[in-house]
Amino acid sequence: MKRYSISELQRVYETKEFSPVEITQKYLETIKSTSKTFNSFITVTGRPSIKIGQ
Amino acid sequence: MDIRTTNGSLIDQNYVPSKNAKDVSKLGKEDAITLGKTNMHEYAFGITTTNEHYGAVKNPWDTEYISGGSSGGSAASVATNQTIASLGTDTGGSIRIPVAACGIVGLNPTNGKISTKGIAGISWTLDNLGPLAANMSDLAIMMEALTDNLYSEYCIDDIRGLRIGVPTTFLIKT
Repeated sequence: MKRYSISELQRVYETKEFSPVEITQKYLETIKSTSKTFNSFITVTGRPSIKIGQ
Repeated sequence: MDIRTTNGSLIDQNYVPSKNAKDVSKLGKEDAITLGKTNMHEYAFGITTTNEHYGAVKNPWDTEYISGGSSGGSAASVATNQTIASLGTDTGGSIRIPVAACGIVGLNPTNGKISTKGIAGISWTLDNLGPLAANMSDLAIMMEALTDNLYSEYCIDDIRGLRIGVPTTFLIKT
């Protein structure tokens, strides 16, 4: 997945390229596919994160 | 809050705090979205993140190596683009060591600059909370959100002419 900076994210939201929910889903998918390789997460919040995105 | 917060330990494997740390609430006010809790050296008491309960955090550049710690999961998750930025605490290198090992940036702020209220600690006087990020502009934005001070304006692209001090005696014994 493309790496976004925080200011790039602001632009993405403003231009409606992606919504915060879509970005959150993208990151959750990346965590799902990557986290096990690196043991980087203990708890992933999933649905509550998407709720905040709304 | 309402997120399982193990502190990398087995003892707190089911601990769910009922309140957010002040800094987490601050980031929430800036519309940050929490994705989860990252792996760490058990109780932040070590610099390798070879966590025997949740697995050793692997270095993003070579999984045969350690991520450094104690904020190893934070650093590895930013380095592998699973998160944009993360938080860690630093008492004796727990932000500085993993960001160096994982090739990202982090800041152990001046003691007392950022509140550590509501954050699990290992020292009352030496713990600091700081951000971990993939680049300096994100790190500056995180510091702005955590402190209400300006940092972005100090991010300049052209550093020609800038004098940088390197304490060689700390790095290489002569």
